[in-house]
Amino acid sequence: MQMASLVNMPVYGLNKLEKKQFLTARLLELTQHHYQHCGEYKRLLHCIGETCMPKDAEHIPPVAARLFKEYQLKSIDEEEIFRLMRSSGTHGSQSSIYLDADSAKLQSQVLVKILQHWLGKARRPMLLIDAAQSVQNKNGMTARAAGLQGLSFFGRNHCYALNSDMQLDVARITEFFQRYEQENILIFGFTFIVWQQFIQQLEKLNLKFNLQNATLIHGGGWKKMQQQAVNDALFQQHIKNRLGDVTVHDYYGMVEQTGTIYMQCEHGYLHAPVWSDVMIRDTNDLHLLPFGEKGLIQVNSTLPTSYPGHCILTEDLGVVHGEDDCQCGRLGKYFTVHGRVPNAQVRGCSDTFS
Amino acid sequence: MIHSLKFIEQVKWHLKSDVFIQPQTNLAWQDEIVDAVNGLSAFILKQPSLKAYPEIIALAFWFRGAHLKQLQQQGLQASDKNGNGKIAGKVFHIAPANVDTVFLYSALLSVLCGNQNIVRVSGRSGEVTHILIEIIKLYAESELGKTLARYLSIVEYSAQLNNVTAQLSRWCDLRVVWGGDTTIELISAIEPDTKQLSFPDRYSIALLTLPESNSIEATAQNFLTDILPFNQQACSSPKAIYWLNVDENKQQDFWQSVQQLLPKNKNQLTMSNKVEQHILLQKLAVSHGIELAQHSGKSFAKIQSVGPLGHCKVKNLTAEMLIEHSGNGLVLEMQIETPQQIENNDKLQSLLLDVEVKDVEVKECALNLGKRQAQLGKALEFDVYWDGINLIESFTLN
Repeated sequence: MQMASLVNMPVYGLNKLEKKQFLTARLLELTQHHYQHCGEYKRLLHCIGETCMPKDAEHIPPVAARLFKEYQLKSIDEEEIFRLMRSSGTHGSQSSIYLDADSAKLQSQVLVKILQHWLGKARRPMLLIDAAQSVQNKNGMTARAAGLQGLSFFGRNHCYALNSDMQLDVARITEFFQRYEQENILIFGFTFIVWQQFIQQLEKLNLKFNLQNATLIHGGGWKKMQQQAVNDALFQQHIKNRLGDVTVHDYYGMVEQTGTIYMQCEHGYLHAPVWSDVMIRDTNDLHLLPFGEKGLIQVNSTLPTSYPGHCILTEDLGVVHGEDDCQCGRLGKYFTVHGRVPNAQVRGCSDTFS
Repeated sequence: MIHSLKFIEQVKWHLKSDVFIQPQTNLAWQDEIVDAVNGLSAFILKQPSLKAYPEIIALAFWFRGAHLKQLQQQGLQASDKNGNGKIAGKVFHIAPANVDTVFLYSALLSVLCGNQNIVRVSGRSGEVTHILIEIIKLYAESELGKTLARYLSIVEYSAQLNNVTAQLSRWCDLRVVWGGDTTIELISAIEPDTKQLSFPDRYSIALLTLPESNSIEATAQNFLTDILPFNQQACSSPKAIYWLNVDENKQQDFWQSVQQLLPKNKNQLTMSNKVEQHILLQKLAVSHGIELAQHSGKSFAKIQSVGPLGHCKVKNLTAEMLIEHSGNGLVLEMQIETPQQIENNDKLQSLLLDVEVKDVEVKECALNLGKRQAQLGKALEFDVYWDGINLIESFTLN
């Protein structure tokens, strides 16, 4: 498929029959492509795949996300590598995702299309809840830097709310809010950073603002939030209490499939855009679970051509609630995320002494 | 030279008697020290709350009076050469985090051999380690326990504190390092002249025939006894089953028995371990080209789930795959016609059998496999001969 026609598909506009047809063709094509160009993927297919190629998207073996941390999985030659993406992983090893120029371009174009759906095309004054230094990358691009950079396209007059030591710059944000109070401000940040370094600081300083029609987009996971017993409703309540009229959208996404993010609608559900899909698998034997049942989240994306990441088995748990029938009217599957599978206690001989 | 064994670093002594730093008399296999160890065994067996921990009961059973009598015979012969009544030798044990009870087998055996011992336990040790430590502390308050405490100390500190490892290494006459090739390499570099006994990474396998004479249920139970403790991460827990000319239907019966017996067998495997099983299989495919034997037809082949365990038939199974196997309750299976199809390797520790080791059919080639052959169900039973080393001889210093 031509890149242009892929990018121009309606973001939440295909019904399940149309989408299935599109996804199946594209995902099988990608399976074939990676089988031919990635030795590790070929071995994986030989192990758990079929002797002949799968005929349906659900029969494509999903690659465990962990594999991107331990192997350099790519379907391109060294000289074609345009960008190396890394997860911002604070502990353990990081994922390495290899992009060629086309993949990188496709990812950012799709991200733009998805966000335009939610934000419109006009650029807005933008507050980033992070430090300007976070965008600078030393060793490949981190997911956090990619997120900040990707979202920056939707804003103008960018203002970073945090200093280089990740502390809130009260003077700077006060000035920003005063100047743009009447405009539709866009705020972006990582969930935990927004909570701890922004909202909680505003609360500590007893600062309140009265924004009109602002939008906050945040993502990055709820693990640390859950440790503090903060859920989505409480998070939104604190934000509105401090900032005024703010529409809040969480999103679910991962460095292994940059671009195709899952935005949270006004009814609290994450939505699969036309370029990607979610499936829920049983943790015991990976069989496909029906809507409403909790299991491992598999994410499928039609974008990855430079690395075998079109079908990925995450270590996140979730529930798909339905397809095409969310009250918000968007087509495609809608789902919620319910935390991660806790880390198995690794107590093998080889790490006795730690 | 008397070492003070005082550290400026963060070192937590779980057990350290007031007189421990003083040199003690070598009591190798004398009744006084045998009674002190036997006392601990009896003390454990008296605690009703410990019945829920089969690995602790197994430890106490191993050090029961009758078995100690047998060991005493062997020990007295070995210690003839050295000096009873002289100064006790000093042994520094670095215990593994994956098998909670090993540190005590190793340390108590060394106590019996007449040494003073310091055991370093990992901060990541499991529940069982901590229960054992509490039990020993309680026991150490009794008269017999005081004798034991003169010869046994337990310490916990971070692996990063090389200086502590160095000091303890200078204190000891022998350093015993359990498990982890990486660990052994790291420790060996600290005070490299220290006399050392090390037990590197090993893996184990089961060779099953399901003979008519054995009930399948008993075999299934023995198998669970071998793999459930320590989440299949013990070196002697089998990672794979080789089915030696066993009919497919009988294998099915075996797994059905496993399924039925699982609820009666305590285990600590969780959903995380399940997810690790899928990831492990993919890693073995990507790194070593493992291939599943059964493709389930329509969909991609998957691990078959039996309670918290997973199992799958494979076409190829090499030593390097088994070395990388991280436990977590995944049982790889392979159908074979002769034990010669099993690859031998220096890292293969135990070959577990469901027939007598002397059985003619299996005997010829199987006896060359691994460092130890044992009956299925006894994989985790401790032995004075460990990894081909006679521990009593090794712990008899001077």
